[in-house]
Amino acid sequence: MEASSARAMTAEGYLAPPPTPHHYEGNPAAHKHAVRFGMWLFLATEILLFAGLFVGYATFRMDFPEAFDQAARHLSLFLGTTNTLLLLTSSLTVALAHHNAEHGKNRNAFWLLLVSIAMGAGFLCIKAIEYAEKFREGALPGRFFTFSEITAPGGPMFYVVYFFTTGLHALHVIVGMSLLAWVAVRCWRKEFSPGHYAPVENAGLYWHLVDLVWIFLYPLLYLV
Amino acid sequence: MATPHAAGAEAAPGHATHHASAARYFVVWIGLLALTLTTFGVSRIPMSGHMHLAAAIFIACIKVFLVASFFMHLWGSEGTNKLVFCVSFVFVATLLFFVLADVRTRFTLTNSRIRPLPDIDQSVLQHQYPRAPEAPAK
Repeated sequence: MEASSARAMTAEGYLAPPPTPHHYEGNPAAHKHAVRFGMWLFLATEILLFAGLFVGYATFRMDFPEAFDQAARHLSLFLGTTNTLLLLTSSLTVALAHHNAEHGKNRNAFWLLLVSIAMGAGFLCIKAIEYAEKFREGALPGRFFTFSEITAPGGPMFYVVYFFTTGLHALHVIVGMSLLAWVAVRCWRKEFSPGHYAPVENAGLYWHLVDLVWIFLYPLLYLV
Repeated sequence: MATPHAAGAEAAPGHATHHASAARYFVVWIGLLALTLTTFGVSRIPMSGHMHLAAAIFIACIKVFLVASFFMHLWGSEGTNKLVFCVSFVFVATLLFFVLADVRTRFTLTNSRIRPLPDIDQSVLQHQYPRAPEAPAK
């Protein structure tokens, strides 16, 4: 790690990439494949983590269809839709950052990542506004539920699902923003080149996964 | 240790899409925005709840396909990556199917949330078990 701060510049003006693990020496394509494959395996575990929450959603929705219908009407469609558009747009800028890093345009990638992080922060701010509203109304999970406008049984269960799914998702947004910030710093240091951009790609993959989860959460919680 | 970090790394097979122009990201993005507005619009159409759910999930799947294929470069990626991603969705569907099949086919005697058990009509018990269980102790 210490050695990396003193890494030399390559002839093309990039920070010299870290050494390839010796078992991949002479075969950078295999190394790239392995790095990417590992990330996809990790993303599969993430998908299955969220799957548990989606199963919970389906089960409780089946048990309490009326409460879920009433509660969905009390979520702000405007804020939910705005957040969806924000997250989709941040995915675009992350994809563009990856594209730029891959072509050695570190400065472009840096700014695009910064914009993406800002959109992630915007997403969290809107989420916080929504949460504050729920806390004010008493639209809360379990025995903290004091929201009188939902009359059908099962209201507290909707908010268990709502807070757990959106909460875990928000946690992923925070982690994703941290990863993007980390690779943004490395972009600023001109670390990435056509031969070495895996960190941008993998942080981007994580961010897109956060987007994928929201693509399902948005219609299920806000629309149907 | 010298690192032969060949620029030829990017010439790995199956990555032709990586070097396409950035314009297609904007096309995909516009498609995603349009689908978001579509799913919003469809949810306002008066239909049955099941239809709403089916439409929402269908549109979400198209959006996931777009994000995974183009933003995440799964299209044109190594087959192993596609396999991992697709199989994880098969596993999610399996989990959903069996849990929901269980929940939907529950009846009084299989529902752990019904208490207390002695309140269950004994004639139901006779019907559910081929051999009648022992009469509850008085």
